[in-house]
Amino acid sequence: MRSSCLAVLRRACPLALLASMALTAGAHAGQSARLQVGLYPERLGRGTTIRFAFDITATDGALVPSPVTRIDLRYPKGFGLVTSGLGLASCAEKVLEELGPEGCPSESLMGDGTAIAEVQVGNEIVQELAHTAIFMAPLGGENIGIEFLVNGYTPLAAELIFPGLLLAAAPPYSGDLSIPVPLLESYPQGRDVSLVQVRSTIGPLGLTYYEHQHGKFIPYTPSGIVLPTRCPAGGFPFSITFHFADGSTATNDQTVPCPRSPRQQRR
Amino acid sequence: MLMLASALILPAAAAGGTAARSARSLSVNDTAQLKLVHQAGEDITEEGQAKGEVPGHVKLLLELGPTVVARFTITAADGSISGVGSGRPKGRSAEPSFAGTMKVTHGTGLYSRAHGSGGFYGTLNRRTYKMVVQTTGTLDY
Repeated sequence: MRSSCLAVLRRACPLALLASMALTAGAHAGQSARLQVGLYPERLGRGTTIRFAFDITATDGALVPSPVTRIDLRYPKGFGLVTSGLGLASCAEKVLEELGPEGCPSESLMGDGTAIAEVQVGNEIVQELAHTAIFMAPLGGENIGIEFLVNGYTPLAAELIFPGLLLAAAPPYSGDLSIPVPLLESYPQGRDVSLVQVRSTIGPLGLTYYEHQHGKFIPYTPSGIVLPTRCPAGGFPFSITFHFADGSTATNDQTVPCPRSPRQQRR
Repeated sequence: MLMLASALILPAAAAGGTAARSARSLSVNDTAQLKLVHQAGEDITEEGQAKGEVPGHVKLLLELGPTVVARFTITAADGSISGVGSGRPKGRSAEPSFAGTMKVTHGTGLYSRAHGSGGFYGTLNRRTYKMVVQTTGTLDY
């Protein structure tokens, strides 16, 4: 899947101005990925927000890593995504494309964050900064669907919308958030941009939902991803695998230490 | 809202034997309305009353992951029936429905030799966690 910078909705591409600059061939023989995960708050049996941070770097001397084509983010068994109260409504890709996030029900938003992408232009690296948002997609297929919105704001205004699926995963994981990432040209005939950093949440932190009751919209905060009442030995395992356009993959695992018990937290 | 219905579809009802205890086969079409009694992570426990060919108290342990797995026990007057079902969520986000298969694994009392298999369907209200479960099919015991 490939999107031309100019073809995506509601955006301009100042990077096209750089098209006349000499480009060097990109070599992407290898990438490494680093995943960091935090739970806010960390209380067993209670709702939480999962904070993800991942960084991708080239390991072969290239200035930027190969573009990401798919992300598989696996989360631990027992994490209650369906029981989270998140995504009680859904937002279809078409609504996001035509109306933007403002056209989606508040109860469809599941998390948000930021992203940084890079493109090599000559011997320079141009960084693109973006806001990200995660929405519940309408249920319909064999799996729970998610819609991702990436809204680039500087130096170019760009919007990218693409779906992901929540798949079953083998233990010790419960689910695999599988996200095919479309390739995005930096400018027509230009090199595809490379994702290098994401900071995102899935959970109620910063979210306000509105429930329609008796003609009024009542604000509330969803409960969040409910943690199991017991923590596995060693902690909660997470794993992320990036698939790159050059055919390589990079996997990084991270274990979130077991939260202290309420008794320990009171001390 | 999540509503869960399970269907156990096997051959039509066959009469029990004339001996004191011969194999029996029963066509089942049971429906149960359930309420949340416990939640831990992606696991919830629901309980309620089943109406139909095997009326009784239903306890459902539901694992609400990407695939929904349900372990159920129906406690009737003459014994209990236990089994497991699985399905995938569909429909509205706030009230997904599930459809899949189920299998009766064991029983007690009159149903100590219970076995069977069939479909598994239902819906769940994700706001209230009220569920509706339906089972249809044939139970051999």
